[in-house]
Amino acid sequence: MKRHNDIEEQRLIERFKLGDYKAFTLIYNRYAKSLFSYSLQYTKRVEDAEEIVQDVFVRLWRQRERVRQEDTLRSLLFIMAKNMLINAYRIRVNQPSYEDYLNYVDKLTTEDTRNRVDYSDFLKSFHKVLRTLPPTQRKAIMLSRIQQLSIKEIAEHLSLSEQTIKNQLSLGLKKLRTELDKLIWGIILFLN
Amino acid sequence: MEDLERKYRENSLTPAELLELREKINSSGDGELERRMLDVWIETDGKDVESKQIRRIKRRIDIANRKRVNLLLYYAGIAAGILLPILIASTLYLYQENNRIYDHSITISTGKGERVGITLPDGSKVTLNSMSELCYSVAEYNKDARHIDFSGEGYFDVRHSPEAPFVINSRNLKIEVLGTTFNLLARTEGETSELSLEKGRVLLVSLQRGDSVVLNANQKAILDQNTGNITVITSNTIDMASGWTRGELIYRNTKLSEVIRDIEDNYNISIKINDEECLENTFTGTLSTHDLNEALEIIELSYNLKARIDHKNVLLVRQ
Repeated sequence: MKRHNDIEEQRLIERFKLGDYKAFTLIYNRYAKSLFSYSLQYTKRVEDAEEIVQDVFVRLWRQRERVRQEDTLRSLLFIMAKNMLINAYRIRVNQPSYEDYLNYVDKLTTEDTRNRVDYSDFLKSFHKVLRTLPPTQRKAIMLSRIQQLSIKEIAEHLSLSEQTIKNQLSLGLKKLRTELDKLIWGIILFLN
Repeated sequence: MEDLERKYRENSLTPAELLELREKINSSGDGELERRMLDVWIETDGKDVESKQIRRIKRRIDIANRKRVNLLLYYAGIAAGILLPILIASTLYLYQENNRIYDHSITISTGKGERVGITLPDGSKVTLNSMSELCYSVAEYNKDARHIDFSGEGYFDVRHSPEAPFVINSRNLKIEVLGTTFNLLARTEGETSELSLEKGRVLLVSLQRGDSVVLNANQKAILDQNTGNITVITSNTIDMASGWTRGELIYRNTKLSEVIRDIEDNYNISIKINDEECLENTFTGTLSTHDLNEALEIIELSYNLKARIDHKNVLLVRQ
């Protein structure tokens, strides 16, 4: 995406390296939205994406003297953010709660709403509804989602049969979905 | 693979596809992931991002870069009557030229359940967890050397200054860094001290033995307080140790007694358990720093205990 004039950017880098904070702000204004959007796609949480943008630009300012004139800001920003992003990506992909989120999104039929329910909101609502479930269902879900135990392990833990655990999980998740629907539709309507 | 990743980014993966992606990611090296991620970055624009959001982040960046001043200090504490800690960390900006500093040393400490973020004179940032203390003298923290004394747990983001090594003195352990980000757990009681290094390099010296060890990113050093030995392990989830700065307490095969102690510190409560044997068991899982009831419930479930809560005292009873 070569929207920006390369010469213009070179001049900005020159001034920025010399400690011109206005130049830094201009650089920020050029790339922050992209970095934020990009980070959000991998971390799935607004707080994490914000932290990455903040961290990268603070470091960029602190290390401004080490920036070489030939560096392109776009690739430099990537290098500075990549470790945090790769970590976040790996963790998120393995989390049961993210799986729940996708299961949930899968069930919503309208194309539209898919983009409105972000993962952070989902997690908060999830925990809220979880607290209202009957004890055994709640326990089964907590052991499965938070402690990441298998059905067999949960059954041993709660001294119940594996079939009972499967049923309790299924009932609990079903109830979760219904309640989440109400909560989240409430959020969506509110946001509108 | 690219297709799966695109769907991941767009939140349009089916649960079955997630499992497929998970397997592929877990068996891919960082280099591979990086290559594909770079391709995506080159094509990314931020059209749908709200300016308000970006401006808000910029304000925080300006504060961290000392272009804007924030003199308010918030502590994480317990809301009266409800055991739900509210964590708001902000930046304490210390002026070196300020005449109000009469003595020559500065100490910052946190009590139980408190957490605070501070910025040192050179711009290095430290987030102190509960029951921690950081101390330095104006004479010892300057352009030539940056010395601090520390106990407790902190998340350090040290500014790179090759002419002025950043040195931490903690119990039986001296740490020297140039510019780097890490979590240090060095409590005054405790059988080990642990440093989890996220970025950069550090030199650790065991003061009892005189041994030294150099640590690289994604490595963790554990000092045995009894023998003075330092063990080094590598981890690709090194940022688990600093989970507390993001609202999570993450554990893998940790002794329950330690987990209980962390919960006590984080929520500023006292927990007694009537089954001492239990404390030797190990715990794996993630606890929230914001919801005491949920954290206790996970402990109850895992060890067949029941919690009785009376104001700030919790008694765990074997079922």
